[in-house]
Amino acid sequence: MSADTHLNTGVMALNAMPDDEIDNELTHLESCESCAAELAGFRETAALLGSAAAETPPASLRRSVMAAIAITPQLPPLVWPRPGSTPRHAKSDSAPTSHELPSPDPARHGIDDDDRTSATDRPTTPPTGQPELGSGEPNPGSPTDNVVPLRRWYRRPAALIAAAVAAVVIGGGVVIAIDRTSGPTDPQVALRECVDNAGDSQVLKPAQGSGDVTFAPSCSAAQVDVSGLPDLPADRTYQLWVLAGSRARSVTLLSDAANGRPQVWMAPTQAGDTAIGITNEPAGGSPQPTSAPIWAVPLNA
Amino acid sequence: MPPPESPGPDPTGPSRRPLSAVPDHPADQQRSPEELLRLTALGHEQAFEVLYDAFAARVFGLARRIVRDPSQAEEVAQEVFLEIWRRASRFDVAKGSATSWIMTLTHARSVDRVRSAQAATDRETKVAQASTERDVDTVVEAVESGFERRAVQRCLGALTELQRESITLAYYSGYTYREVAELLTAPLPTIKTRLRDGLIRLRDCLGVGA
Repeated sequence: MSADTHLNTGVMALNAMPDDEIDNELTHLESCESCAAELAGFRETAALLGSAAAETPPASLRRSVMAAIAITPQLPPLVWPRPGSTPRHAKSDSAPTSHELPSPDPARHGIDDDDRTSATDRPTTPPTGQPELGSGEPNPGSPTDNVVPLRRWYRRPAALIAAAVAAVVIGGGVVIAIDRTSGPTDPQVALRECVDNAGDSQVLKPAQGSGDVTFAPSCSAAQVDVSGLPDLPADRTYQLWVLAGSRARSVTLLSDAANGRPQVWMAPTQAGDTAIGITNEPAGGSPQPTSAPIWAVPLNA
Repeated sequence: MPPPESPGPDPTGPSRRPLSAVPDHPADQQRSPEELLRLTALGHEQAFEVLYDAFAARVFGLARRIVRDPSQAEEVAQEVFLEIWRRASRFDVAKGSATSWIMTLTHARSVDRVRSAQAATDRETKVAQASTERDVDTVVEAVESGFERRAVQRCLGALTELQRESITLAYYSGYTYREVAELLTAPLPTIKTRLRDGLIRLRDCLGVGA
């Protein structure tokens, strides 16, 4: 890393780094322990600079803050499901609603989903080569029927939005039977329009890595732009997740991004969602994240 | 050097109401900000109130310094405190002190406000003002830690003029280092070096652990 990069700690501590340079710097900080330590010390120093500007606020501030927090919910801690956790089959949690409850034990969700989703939720690869996230309805009578709440959440949008991916990836060359989903009611289009026009949309930048998330709580959706992620080998892909506490829900595979192309995806969100993140997964995707996130941004819902 | 955190008497707020679910914490005001944040993450409004009292002047003051307009500063400060309330569970003491977390958040929100609210021409005006009005000596009266403020002033005074100017424009006026370079007609690496060297001096002068 160049000496110039090492000089950036001062710029970072003073919050004076332009947006388009922040990603690089954060990547550098991950690999440069001494830089990170220096930055931490500089931030403490900058905090003292800030403190020196202290000024008594108007009394109205205290009243309005206290009134506001009384009606403002708090975010749960950000917890990623532990990669590679050992299945514990003895756990009795076959209740259909178990996925709807925040669990203090992320590993538990990992195994649930591994066990149950392998039959229907693990995407298969159709002849077009397109990961088939939207392959019809859940198999009736399969052992995974009891995960309807989880599956319903992401399979239906995925079924509809698979069209958008196919159109981008395949271009005009291969026509596949997806026309029914590409009309004006395409939720990808509808969500994008909603987010574009939302008054409450906020751009959330991951602290590291490439991409950004435009979250509009009023649309129950976030636009995820993952352009700029590095190319992956053929047997790997990026997977987009929405987290609610310790639960990770798959949104889609990001095949374009995995091939080094720009990609934008609309992720539906729900009340209680806490973060959106991307992981690197085996081609075909995983029922639950199997690796640490490339990035995750907390949602300010 | 951890800043003194005792909030002092609260001249403005209502008397604190005891939490029903939790025994009264007469010691809340003696708690560290980190501990107060931890309790806040658990939903303890009383701990949050103590945290508010300890930081209100600093959060409001920094916001006001950057956005300048008092009513906008009040809005920013409210945003910051709401964010502290909502995100308390995300605070990670391994990454820095509570003071650093709160002031970093305050700075970021203030700069967001300036960058979104002000047209480029407004900002040019601000620069002119910033370089004349934003003298170290004008740093507010009021509040708590006079000792700390004097230390900051003394240490800022120990910087070279170029270091002080760069740091002041970047931190108190919210400019990016590229904008600072433009304003001071200096090459980018020079500004980076000045900011870093200036912070090293400040850090050592203020006795902040590296």
